[in-house]
Amino acid sequence: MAVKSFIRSAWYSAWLGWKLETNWADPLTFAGYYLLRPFASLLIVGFIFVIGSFAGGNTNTQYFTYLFLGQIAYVYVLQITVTTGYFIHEERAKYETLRSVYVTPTSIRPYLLGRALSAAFASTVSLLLTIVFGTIVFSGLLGLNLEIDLFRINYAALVMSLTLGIVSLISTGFILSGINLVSTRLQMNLSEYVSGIFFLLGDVIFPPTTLPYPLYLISYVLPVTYYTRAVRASIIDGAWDVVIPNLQMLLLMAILTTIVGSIVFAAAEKRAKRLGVIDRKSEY
Amino acid sequence: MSNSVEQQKRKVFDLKTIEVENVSRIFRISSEKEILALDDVSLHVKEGEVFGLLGPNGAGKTTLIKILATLLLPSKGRAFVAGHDVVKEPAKVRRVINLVSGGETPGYGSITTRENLWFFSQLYGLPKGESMKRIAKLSEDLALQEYLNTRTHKLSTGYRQRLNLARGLINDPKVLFLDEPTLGLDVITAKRIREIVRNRVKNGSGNSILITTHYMVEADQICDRIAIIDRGRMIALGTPAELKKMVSKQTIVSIETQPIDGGMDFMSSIAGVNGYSQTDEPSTGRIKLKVVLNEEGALQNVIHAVSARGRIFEIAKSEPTLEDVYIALVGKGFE
Repeated sequence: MAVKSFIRSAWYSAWLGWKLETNWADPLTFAGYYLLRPFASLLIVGFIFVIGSFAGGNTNTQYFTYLFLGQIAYVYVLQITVTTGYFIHEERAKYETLRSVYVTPTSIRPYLLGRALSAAFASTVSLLLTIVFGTIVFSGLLGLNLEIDLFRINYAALVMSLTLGIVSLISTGFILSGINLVSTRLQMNLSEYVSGIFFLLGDVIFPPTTLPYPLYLISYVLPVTYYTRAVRASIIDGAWDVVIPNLQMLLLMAILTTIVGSIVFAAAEKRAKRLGVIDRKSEY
Repeated sequence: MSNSVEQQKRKVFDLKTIEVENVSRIFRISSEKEILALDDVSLHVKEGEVFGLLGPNGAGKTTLIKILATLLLPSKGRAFVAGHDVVKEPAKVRRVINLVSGGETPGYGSITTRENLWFFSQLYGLPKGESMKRIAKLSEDLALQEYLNTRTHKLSTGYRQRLNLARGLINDPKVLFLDEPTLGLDVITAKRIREIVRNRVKNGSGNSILITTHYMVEADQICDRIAIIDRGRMIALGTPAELKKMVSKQTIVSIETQPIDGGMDFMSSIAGVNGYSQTDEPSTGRIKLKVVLNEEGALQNVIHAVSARGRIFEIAKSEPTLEDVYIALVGKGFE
């Protein structure tokens, strides 16, 4: 019964999330926004690479493919983890509905999960559009031979990577939500800080082996690192013997982040109730 | 818990929907500063009762409601809603309650009124048909029908508060918490909300309402019993009539005067004055004083002291109100 109620609440929260994501604009503007936002990031990194390569007189397409796929994978990080971390602030300050949701029988967890799943669905649209348009622009128009062969992609492994990535990134979002539940100061900034760290240290644009010593270690405890690796392995290598070790590590990270996310959020909720800050608005 | 214990527990609380036992709440502001928001408060709310918490801003009313609605933990004491401990069994409490707060305009602005209500009905697990019926009924009761398909960011403050109340009633809660539900609303909307509150318990449904307000008239009109709270302490409890009886032996006088240089602090030192409150009358530029006297003879002292400082336009004796009870108990009106 409790599980059924939880799923039901999560489902309708996902419905609400989708409504809130899409209702602000007409469908065409919405689709454009969901393409432009991640695509703009891809273009910035892509053109920095292109200019740097021409200036240096050497174009390393292997590294460009690494960058391209890192950016593609990062779409999920930006739109799932960052958005989920931001929900508490949004509920408190923008909609002022946090206490109304909190006092419902299933309370806030299925709500956050549903909203996060809705963000995951929306970001999948972004991700697919970015792959298509990114390939057209960089491989087609600019002639930067991306080392992506549509027939060599291991689609089953890619779906598994994305699914485990969603689990891991939502759980990370729950950790951020928990921190925001207790703190009324960090709010939006917290997600920005964390997404910045993930971008630099999560094997998105720099391989961990190229990072200085202490940062190198941090990179290996971030779930994003294993998620981006699994996505790259599924697309570039395709072979199961290469993909499976990456998937195993990602699975392990997904389980760990789910456990840590649940513990952190439960502890944060308890502390927020003790401090009396659950429905308190942000101070900044 | 075994069935018999559960049944026994329910029996005890059959008539008491809310039970608050010696609840205190301390907020720690810094390492050196603490605020005692609730100080050893005990009360109960009966089935089918509208119970009012009356007090000025910062008295501790909202703190108590938040504890009962499982949003906040008490520092000390215990509280039960429908027989369930608010600390140990929050999920069971949430199944039978709902909360509506005034003074804010909550809701998801980019979806419609109907969608807002639908979403919350689903969080309460209502079947679809039942949900649609309730949305129709509530929108009729609250005159929201023509705005059902309007995005809520386009609603006025009054209509958003009606939507807020409809959301609070969507699960037909056994216990409804209303925290200043008419704050900042126009007279017509406030009246409508009071009517709905009264009607909700009138039909013998056994539903209870705990309402906080600092509007004396509102408390007088709709509450069966009232607890007056000041600085976290409950200083009086009873029906409006019982509370007014507390000042029946005292004399209540209204004095209209011009603004007095240096303020009205001198009133506290006049012999026989139990308490007073003052209200500015912007339309006339005058001040209206409400004075509670321990004995009628003290009126001469008051007239003498006020007229020595400014002109008196009108003096009248009045029937006791809840405001007079508060003045008599605390020595001053709401700030």
